Amino acid sequence: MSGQLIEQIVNGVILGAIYALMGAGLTLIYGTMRVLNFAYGEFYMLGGYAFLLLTSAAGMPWPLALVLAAVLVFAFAAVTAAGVVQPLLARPGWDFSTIAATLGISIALQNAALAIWGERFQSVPYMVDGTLEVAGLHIPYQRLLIVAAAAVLIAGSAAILSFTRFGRAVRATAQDREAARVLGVPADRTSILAFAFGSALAALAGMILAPIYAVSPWMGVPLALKAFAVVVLGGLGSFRGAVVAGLLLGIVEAVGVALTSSEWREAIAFAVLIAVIWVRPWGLYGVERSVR
Amino acid sequence: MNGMFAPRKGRTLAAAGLAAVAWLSIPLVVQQPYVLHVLILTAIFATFAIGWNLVTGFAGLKTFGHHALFAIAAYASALLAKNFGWSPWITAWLGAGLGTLVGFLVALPALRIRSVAHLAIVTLAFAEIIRILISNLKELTRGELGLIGIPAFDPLFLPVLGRVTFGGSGRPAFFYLASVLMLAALASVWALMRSRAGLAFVALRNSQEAAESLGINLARYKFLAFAASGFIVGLSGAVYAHYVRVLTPHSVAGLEVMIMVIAMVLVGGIGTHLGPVVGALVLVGGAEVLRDVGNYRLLLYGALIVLATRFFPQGIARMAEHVRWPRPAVLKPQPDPERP
Amino acid sequence: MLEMRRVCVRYGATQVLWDIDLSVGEGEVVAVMGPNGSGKSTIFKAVMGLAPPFAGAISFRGEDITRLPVERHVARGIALVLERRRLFPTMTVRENVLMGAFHAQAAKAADETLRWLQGLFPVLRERGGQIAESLSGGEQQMVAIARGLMSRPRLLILDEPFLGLAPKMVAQVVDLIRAVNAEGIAVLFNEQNVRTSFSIADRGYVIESGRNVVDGTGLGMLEHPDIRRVYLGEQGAAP
Ligand SMILES: Nc1ncnc2c1ncn2[C@@H]1O[C@H](COP(=O)(O)OP(=O)(O)O)[C@@H](O)[C@H]1O
Ligand SMILES: [Mg+2]
Repeated sequence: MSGQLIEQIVNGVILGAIYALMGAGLTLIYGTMRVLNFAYGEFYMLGGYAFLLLTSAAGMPWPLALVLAAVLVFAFAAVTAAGVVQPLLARPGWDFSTIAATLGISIALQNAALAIWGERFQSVPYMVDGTLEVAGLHIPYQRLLIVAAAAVLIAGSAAILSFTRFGRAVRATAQDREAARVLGVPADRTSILAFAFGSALAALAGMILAPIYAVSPWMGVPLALKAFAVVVLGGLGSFRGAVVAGLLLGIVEAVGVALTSSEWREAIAFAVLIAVIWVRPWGLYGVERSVR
Repeated sequence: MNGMFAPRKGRTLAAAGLAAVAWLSIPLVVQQPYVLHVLILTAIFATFAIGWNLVTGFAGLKTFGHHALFAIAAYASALLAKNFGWSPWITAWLGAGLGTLVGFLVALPALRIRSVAHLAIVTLAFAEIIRILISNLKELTRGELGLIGIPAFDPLFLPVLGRVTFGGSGRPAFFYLASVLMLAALASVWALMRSRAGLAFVALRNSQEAAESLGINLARYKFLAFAASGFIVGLSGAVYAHYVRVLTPHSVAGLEVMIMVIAMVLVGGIGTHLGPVVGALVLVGGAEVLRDVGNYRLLLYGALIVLATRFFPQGIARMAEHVRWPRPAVLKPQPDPERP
Repeated sequence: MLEMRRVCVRYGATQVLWDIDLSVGEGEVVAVMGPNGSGKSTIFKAVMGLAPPFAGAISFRGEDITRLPVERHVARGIALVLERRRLFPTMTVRENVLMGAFHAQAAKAADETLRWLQGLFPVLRERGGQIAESLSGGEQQMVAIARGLMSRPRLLILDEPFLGLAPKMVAQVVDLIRAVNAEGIAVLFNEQNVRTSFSIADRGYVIESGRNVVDGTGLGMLEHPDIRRVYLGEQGAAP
């Protein structure tokens, strides 16, 4: 029993790493643009397909495919942000119209993927083979790679936010858009790039998970919903909050599933989400005034 | 104020009456079951859209989980009729009542939270939970296999017409049932918006802070908006259940259903009375007319939402209004002062 | 160097500025005065591109900047310190000030500029590592002005620099503005108190309901009957 519990916690950490990565990208977009990107899961899905096509159809080695696919999704997301989302921000009712528009983009991309690549679930080979055996646990290296990649991507993003010119522009825009613009920060361009950057993180999550979950037009839906839960739990717009909440949700979910059954996995996550919004709508690291 | 609009109001009423008569005489001209089937679905989803537009368009409480209310009412009415043998004429109301109750429940977070983003997430998460419940409670709902054998509305014995049956799809009788539903919803929302509550909704939509400072009881009107909208949406869900007579979690509780309704309202014109109906006609009707589009229906709906928000935010209905009667300046959308 | 000619601005459908004329010469200190809501901040926002005029023209050092995007003003040599400081709340004082040198050219000279400013603003040295939110109002105002100066502007615009400050802090900020001006930087600011304004300003403009009322030099302006009526609130003042 306790061995099983430890295994669940290990699974929870792996899951949590992915949630944290997904949440980090989403919260970055929300923080700079104040836009809830409901097409977020589809950038994850596009990452999966781009990776699949580049590795299997184009025969590229996986590390190269990883980078190229991320660049492709980055570019596509930047075009989406500049063409659809950013123009809406200048108009009244932007808080609703951006949500509606990204929901529209989401369903359109899912069905475009369905039309182009079919409804087949396609699998991607493991990037690394083998299994780590330790203390009676069996952990495939692929899963460890997921955790390591998520950690590297999160730490890298944090470093970019803290130490680069782009990062300073993002933080300034997020904290006070008008003050940032007055100081010469191109807030619109910064938001578009932050949108693309966050979406590329989702795409990368889609790639490193592709060998475990198959690639399909709908693969992004459950993960996007989780990412939403994570950013709300962490406090919308808080990077640190998203990372902490992601890990937490992964573990809570894994243990919860161990106690009930896997078909209730999503329901558990959403119930926790609603409960948190009920008692503490601004989340773990958010600011109370942000929701009123 | 009222006097100023009197001639306009008269014309509007006359036009509305004419349109209703024209709609209701369609079966006198067209009898193909397929066309009627499309129109019946249009009317049912238009009703759903009218209900959602009431809370989101008129009262400005942005919610994205109304497909849960549709689904709950549909399943409740279907299960009561199927398992207890109750008449759908009764269970439909019970389903709508349940929709109202759940509407109350969904209003709770809206009482505390003003952030559109948070509200969107809560309502979506709630709807997801409902979908998961429906698909996991297999003993009751048969889950993804779908609930089949849902009874049709019992035949009615009407003066002049005699026995009227509602089984099978594309019957004129069901067309009238669905049309009455749609027109009643339209008229109720129209009346509601002309009452004190309507004024409160408009104030709420423009600025919750200002509404509060005017002494408007926010909680009360938020409850009212969600409950009234829940009733309308619930009723449309119940009628849908006894029309198609097969329910699956996806067909009623899937996010696609909500997205379709959002597309309808945005294309037709959010916050207008006729918008939802026009939108439903364009989307349901349009998708059927362009048969080839069938497979790409959802792709089209998604694209329509994007195009409507981006290039056509006023929607078709408001465009039509603009052409004839420029709106008074006070009704123009206010610049949003809250954007950071 | 700054010329506003018949500038009209509206927010949505409401017009708030009507034919505003205003100029600032090289090295000058100019005050804008007027009651709350009269449009002083909007004038500054119009200059900075935050509230672009729908009629009229604004030029700076001979170049038209009427439609220049907000972000490009810093490079031209204009800095605006917004009302209520608007520091980035979770950044440190140092990070906040460095944001003022975001513009590429300013970034190159950032170290040197920072040393210069540390001489003028002791708070930068004393509280550099502190989170901006934790400073007092007066200290925040100093940081905000320093942040504006990081871009090495030729014109520094201050929106309500004395708002909510204790008298002692007001005196400090006044000294600072003098010191900044002594470096050849022109200053355009607004302030409710006419006497405070004219203790530093070479010239002043009085605005009421978005329109020019009077302008002139020094305290002599105070004797103008329109000023007494509009500004000092003396209804039907005796001549
Ligand atoms: N963002 C805005 N949207 C709409 N109206 C505004 C906005 N900002 C200011 N106003 C209005 O414009 C007028 C002038 O405001 P402002 O320039 O801030 O005055 P002041 O700085 O002199 O107090 C006021 O009536 C104010 O209500
Ligand atoms: Mg002001």
